[in-house]
Amino acid sequence: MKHTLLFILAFLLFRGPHDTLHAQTQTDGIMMPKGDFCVAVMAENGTWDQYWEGTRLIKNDNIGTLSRLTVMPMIAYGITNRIMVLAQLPWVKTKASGGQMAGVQGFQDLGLAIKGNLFSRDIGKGTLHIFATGEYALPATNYLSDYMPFSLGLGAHQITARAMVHYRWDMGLYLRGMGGHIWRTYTRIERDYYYKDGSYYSEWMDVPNAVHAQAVAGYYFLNDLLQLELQYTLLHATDGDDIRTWNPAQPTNRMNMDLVGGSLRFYAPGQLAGLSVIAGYQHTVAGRNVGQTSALFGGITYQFNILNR
Amino acid sequence: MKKLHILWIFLAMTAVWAGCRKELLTEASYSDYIYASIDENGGTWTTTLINAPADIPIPAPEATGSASYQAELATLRSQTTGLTQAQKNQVAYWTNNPLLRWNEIANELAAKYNLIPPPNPDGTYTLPNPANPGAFPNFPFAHPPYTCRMLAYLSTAQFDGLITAWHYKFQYGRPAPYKTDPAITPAYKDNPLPSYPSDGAVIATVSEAILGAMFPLEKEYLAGLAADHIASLTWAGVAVASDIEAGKTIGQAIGQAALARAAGDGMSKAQTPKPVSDSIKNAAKDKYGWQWDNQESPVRPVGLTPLFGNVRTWNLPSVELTRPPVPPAPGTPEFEEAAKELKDYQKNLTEEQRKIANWWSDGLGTYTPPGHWNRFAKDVIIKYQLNPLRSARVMAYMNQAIQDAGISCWDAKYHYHYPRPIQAIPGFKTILGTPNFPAYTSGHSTFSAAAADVLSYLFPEETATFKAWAEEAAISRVYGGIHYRFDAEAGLTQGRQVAAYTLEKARQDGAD
Repeated sequence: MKHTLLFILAFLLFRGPHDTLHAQTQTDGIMMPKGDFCVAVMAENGTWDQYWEGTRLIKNDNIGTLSRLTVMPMIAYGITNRIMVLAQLPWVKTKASGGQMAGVQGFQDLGLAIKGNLFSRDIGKGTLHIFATGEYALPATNYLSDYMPFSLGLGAHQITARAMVHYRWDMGLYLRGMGGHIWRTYTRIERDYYYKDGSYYSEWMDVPNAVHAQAVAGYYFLNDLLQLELQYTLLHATDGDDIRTWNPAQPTNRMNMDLVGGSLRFYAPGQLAGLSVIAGYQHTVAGRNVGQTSALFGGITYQFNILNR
Repeated sequence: MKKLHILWIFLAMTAVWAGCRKELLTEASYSDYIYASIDENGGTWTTTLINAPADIPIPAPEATGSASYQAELATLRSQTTGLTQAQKNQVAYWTNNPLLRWNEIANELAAKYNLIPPPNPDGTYTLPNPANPGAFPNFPFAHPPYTCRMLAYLSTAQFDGLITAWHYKFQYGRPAPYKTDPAITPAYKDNPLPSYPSDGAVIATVSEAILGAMFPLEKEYLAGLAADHIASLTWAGVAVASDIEAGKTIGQAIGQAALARAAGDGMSKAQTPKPVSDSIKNAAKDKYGWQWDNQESPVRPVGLTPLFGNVRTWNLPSVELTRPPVPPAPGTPEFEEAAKELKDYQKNLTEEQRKIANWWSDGLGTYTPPGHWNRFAKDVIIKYQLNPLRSARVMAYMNQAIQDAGISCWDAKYHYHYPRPIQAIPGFKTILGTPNFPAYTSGHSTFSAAAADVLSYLFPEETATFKAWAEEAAISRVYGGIHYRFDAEAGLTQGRQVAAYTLEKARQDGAD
């Protein structure tokens, strides 16, 4: 039962260059049983004081430290034992410690996802699972994507497809690999001329697609009450231009990031079963056209079955 | 298990959706058209850079019946047949109003070079060096003063070049090659313009000369464009070799005249050393009791082109004529009212106001407000199907007025040296970056009012639109938090006053 609780976690899909709340829910190794409902709130505070202008890591005292707070409510439901659906809506607030540019706040993108268990079998001293997920996300408000690095998100519709292979040994160790692709549409900006290796006479910017990959190692301790996980994550655009000298970033940029992170999660026992808390940290170890973000995140989840009540 | 199909459907939709691509324009979408007028007397219009077309002697062409001309026609016949797709694309790209393409190329280069020098690791700044343009930061930094001047020289030279071409076209009256040789089919709409000298060759040559001087690192790129353009004239069947050679002669001569003026117009002294900049600042402080200071980190020691106000104007006799009245001193009720308006916008900016601020922002990395108005002019020229000479006239007068407006505005900016809102209002935040020069008057407002007045004279049916755009451009800076309302309003007035001098010239140039 507690394994199923694993399910609800941060589920923000790297939809901005600044978002580091990882896509754990969609990329974790567990399904939720039929009739299970889960509600959760996750929060993350990410900051950076250096960013990559193209591939060059620089400081800009007119930004100082950029901070990005994300609060993300989400819900999920097990349709069958092998299919579940999720919805999430992050609220984001940005600000800079230097310069005079105003930060912004508001709801970012509504994400709707489906996750399927394609394969599960006991193999050796553990169990192998294969999962696939698909997500559709769209801007929930008329936020301006062309206001980097403050903008709430990329302002584009996104479709994401992922596949995961997850193996858990009975003794508690697990390994997981994930590969995915993010297709992004255009984002509407508030001007009709911009430069992207040449002139563009359009109110639309083509937001680059991206590949998403993750390697995870984790372990359950204390009779499955405590879960430790380490992640290495890649999010790389498949094309795009570089930030030009001393210019702000724009949604057409090739934004890449490599993240290293870890999280610890506690599942409440006994009377409080169904409740869990999680906390973690993530750091950008390499990047292009993004901030070198370090982020602390935490959250609380509650899972219950509506069919059994 | 059946419900797993949902997942597959979802993934299939993904593939379909990825196939929906938008076409994003990278250039104006227009093709050749029938000119609204031919302007047979265009050769009599007033020139700016030369006294008169006769300054550039062009010999009479060989008669159409001559053996040499017949040989040229034969060559052209072969050049116009069996074109490759790439050659056809060139013909379609340049059209029969290639002046607009060169204007667009100029705008693109402005956007490419509108990059502000970043600070060095030790907190100092290095400025672009025209003597070594390839050193970092590259020359030029195509900021609004630089860009407005570049566009003014480009379009003034194009205009003088085409007046000269028109002069000889109608003096010599050599018909277009396809009029003499029915075996040649022009790629463009037929028109009765004599073809000697080739107007296309004038435009290509003079544009290459001006832009090559303004963007020295692009000389090779521009030479390639000019060569393509000139070759396209033969592929299109609209000019023989001697038409093109005569056009090149005019283009080169006008290019030299324009660059000679540019060399002595004072622009090279506009970006001052710090002691000069400080003395300008102190003069304002002594006279008015306030001063503008750059608010960036690290602080830029000198504002942008403090002496651009001294640069030679085109039609404005003196910047004193259009210098606006003294702005309200910080701390006065009039100032506080303007500051309160800004704070209110900061708190309660509507999405519409935000869009207006961004729409007109035209900041770093863009073609600047002068470029924005050139883009409008290009669109309206296409709408009214002007011939290249008329098009050049629009661009020349508009860009002369825009540069004069910029010079007048910069005179006011550094005469009054008025602080920006982020300096004068504690804790104030903006949604646009504050530029590195004083507030009063607003450059956007001044440029835009001047451009709108010239365009309104030339396209009277569009007056209401141009006026509304100029006013929107002006208020956009207030919404963006980087100008007070009085900066914008004074700038609009100043721009209109400046434009009046250009209009005075336009009314008397013989075209209307």
